Amino acid sequence: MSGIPMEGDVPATIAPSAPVPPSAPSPGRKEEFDWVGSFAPSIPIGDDAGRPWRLELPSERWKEVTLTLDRALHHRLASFWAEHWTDGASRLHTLWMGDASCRGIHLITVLPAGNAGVPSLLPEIPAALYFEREMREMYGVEFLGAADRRPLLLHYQHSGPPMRPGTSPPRDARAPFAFPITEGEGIYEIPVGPVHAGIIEPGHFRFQVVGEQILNLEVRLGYTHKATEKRFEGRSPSLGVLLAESVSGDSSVAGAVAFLEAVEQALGIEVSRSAQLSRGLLLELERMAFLLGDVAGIALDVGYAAGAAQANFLRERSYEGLEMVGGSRLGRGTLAPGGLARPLASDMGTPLAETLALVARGNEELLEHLLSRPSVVDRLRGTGEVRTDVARALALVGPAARASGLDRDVRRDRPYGAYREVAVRVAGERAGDVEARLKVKVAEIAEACRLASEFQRAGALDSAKAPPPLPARSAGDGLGVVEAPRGEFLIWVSVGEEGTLRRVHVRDPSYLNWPAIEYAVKGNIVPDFPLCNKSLNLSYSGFDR
Amino acid sequence: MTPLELVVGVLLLLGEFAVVLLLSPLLMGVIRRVKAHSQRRVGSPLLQPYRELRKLIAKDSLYAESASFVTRGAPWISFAALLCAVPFLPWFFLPSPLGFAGDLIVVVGLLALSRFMTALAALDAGSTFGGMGSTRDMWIGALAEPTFLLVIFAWGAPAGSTQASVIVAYGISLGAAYLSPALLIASAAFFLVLLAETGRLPVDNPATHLELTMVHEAMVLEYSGRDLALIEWGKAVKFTLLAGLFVSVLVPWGIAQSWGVVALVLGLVLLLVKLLGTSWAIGQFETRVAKWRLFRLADLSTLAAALALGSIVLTYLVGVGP
Repeated sequence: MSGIPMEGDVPATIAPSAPVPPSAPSPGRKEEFDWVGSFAPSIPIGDDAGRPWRLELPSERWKEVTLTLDRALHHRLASFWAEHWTDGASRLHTLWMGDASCRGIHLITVLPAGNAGVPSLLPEIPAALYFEREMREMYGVEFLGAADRRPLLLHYQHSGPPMRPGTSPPRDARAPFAFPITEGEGIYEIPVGPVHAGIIEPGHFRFQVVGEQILNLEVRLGYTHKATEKRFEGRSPSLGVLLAESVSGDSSVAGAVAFLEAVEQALGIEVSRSAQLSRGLLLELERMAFLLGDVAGIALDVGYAAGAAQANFLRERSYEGLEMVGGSRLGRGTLAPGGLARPLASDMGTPLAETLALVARGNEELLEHLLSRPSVVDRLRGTGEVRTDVARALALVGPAARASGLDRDVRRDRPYGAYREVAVRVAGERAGDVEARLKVKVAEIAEACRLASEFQRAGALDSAKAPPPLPARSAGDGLGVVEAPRGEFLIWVSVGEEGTLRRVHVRDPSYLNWPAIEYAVKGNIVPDFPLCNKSLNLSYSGFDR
Repeated sequence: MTPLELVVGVLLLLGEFAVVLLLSPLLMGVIRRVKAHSQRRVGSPLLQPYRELRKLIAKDSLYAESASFVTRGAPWISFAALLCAVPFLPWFFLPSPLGFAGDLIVVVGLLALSRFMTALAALDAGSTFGGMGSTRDMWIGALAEPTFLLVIFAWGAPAGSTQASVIVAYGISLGAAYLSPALLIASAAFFLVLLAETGRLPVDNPATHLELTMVHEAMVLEYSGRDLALIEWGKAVKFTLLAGLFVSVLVPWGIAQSWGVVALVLGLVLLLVKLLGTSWAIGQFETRVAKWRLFRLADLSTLAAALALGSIVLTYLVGVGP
């Protein structure tokens, strides 16, 4: 273990800011990876521009390397998924990202058919919990030593892991599911959902409460599981865009761009600059609308309807902006592999600029308006606190992470598309409470307005109808990482020789952020739960897929 | 008392009930409309609460399997208790034919009975939300009721009575001198009691869809159809009772002191104006304030109680009147 580099010096050296061309590995860099040799003697290090470093490991060294990445290199678990091969072997992928600008590390382990499983990453890496539970139920991958063996998404017993090729499982009886039990004088349980009093997505919340104080919360999801990853399989990439858009319907553009980034990387498609700018514009317009909805929700949840009305007004303007340029309020159906499905409305420059100016101005007033009300601030401050260490352990992403003192934003750390040309100002707060999240969101709306104007000035609306660029190869795999309004949206795509999708892994930002709510509400009172919930604004559909 | 006086008295008494019953949904409509306007919305028509009541009355009530006779009976008792308070409050003429039978302390008791029945029914079906809502509502009641009593004493001290009609008659006879600082302070305290008792912001958010933050709404989640209509109507009646008391004590002028037709009509019109004005003010207030954190409500009640106590002290220190 002597070759393991110490904290601080290595991330900078293994994560070069400029991508290195695949055919010319610099001689010096091989040495930088010598420490890996102490784990596995013959590890081929993948070396393709723009992709994460790729390491293939034998399964017996897998946990050791993983823990090193987590502890010595301070990388965070970004995703963790499995795929089946036709010979019965399965491959486990883990993807690690650093906080500063970095390429990331992609670890692959092959598990032969009939394997006994791999050691569980818990309790060392708490963020792995949901991934492991999902892989066990969907792929039948056994994690040795795992304490929590409950299902994650499925509510009915299946005859076998549903994602294993060739099994079409019948729906049997309801699967048993044990919630933690807290006993004691005056402790009672509040079961809420999956059907709620308002029109929201379904999810079950089990509170253990004493008086009004929340001792423990366990969330059960999976009610909107649509087997999206399975539905991708065997379809063409252009159809896949539609599925990616509907992973989380309120961030359609981000889902589509993440998918397209992955496909374009897999097939080596070069996207024109103007199409990249258009995508950037749509992404920022979507972010504006989405985050304004969050601000409205927070205002409404504290019963401050006037502030909510103002935020909703601006949100509607943002959606109208999306419709103006892209033809769809939710930005649906505007994107396609290689560029755009149809060019943006180039004659909408003036109204779009007006909309952006209106939202930027209104947004500034909005924050002032909200934070000048003592009754509003009193509800927000100190409510639903997610401490920095908790946020780091759970590998949170997006505004939730940035409000808890973690400085991570894909647009700056791992720029893609149009973000390579601009400097993104990343918002940040340290308190981790609802007020901090509100401030981060309002700052991000302002930044989104600025970026959208910048993309517009750079020519985002001028994309002419052009034939889509041809793919450089017919098969391959690729990774798309996009900063969605909720945080890092990640899609990994593997395209087979026939040009159809072989395996698509989708990781919505909410997948990482859902556990945060269980920590945020601890010690808060029950009537403050909706406020914690709204400030994190987690996607049920994105989690369940 | 001549037979004619008896007939007129009964008619006027029925008139009081009619005013409260028929006017109360309109006041709800006004509040909603004011709030909608402040949010740049058109809002629902002023008569929408009447339509909602008609819709609910036409529907059957459904009961949980675990619900007992308490669930069925509670809305009626709760509604009846509120109606019993009508003759003890000043409306558009004085003195009320049955006014001698009870004072404001009886009104507090009747409101408490109504609250108790609703809370009992919420516990009856055994749902978690019912239990949660009833603990919260009883807690708010425990904070509001003592302050309500203090306000009654503060109002009644100069007049030397806890009967609403005596206080109001005293006010009318004093003229402008009646509006002493003590009265205004006590009325401010009562405004806070009014918000707490009727479940308005910042105490409870009647418009919320978030079941975990609900207070009154959580208690009545199990109700449907006719029973729900009775509960909704009762809520409006309770608001009318307290708003009526508030304006009548604060601005007593215009209330008829004889049974002359002109005076009665004038009193009725002025009552309408006063109630609509109060509803408008409540709507305006609600748009400007967020719902307070549950346990901060104790601060609100402390403030109200301090105001009421201050008013009593002031009355005895300075005295009231010319």
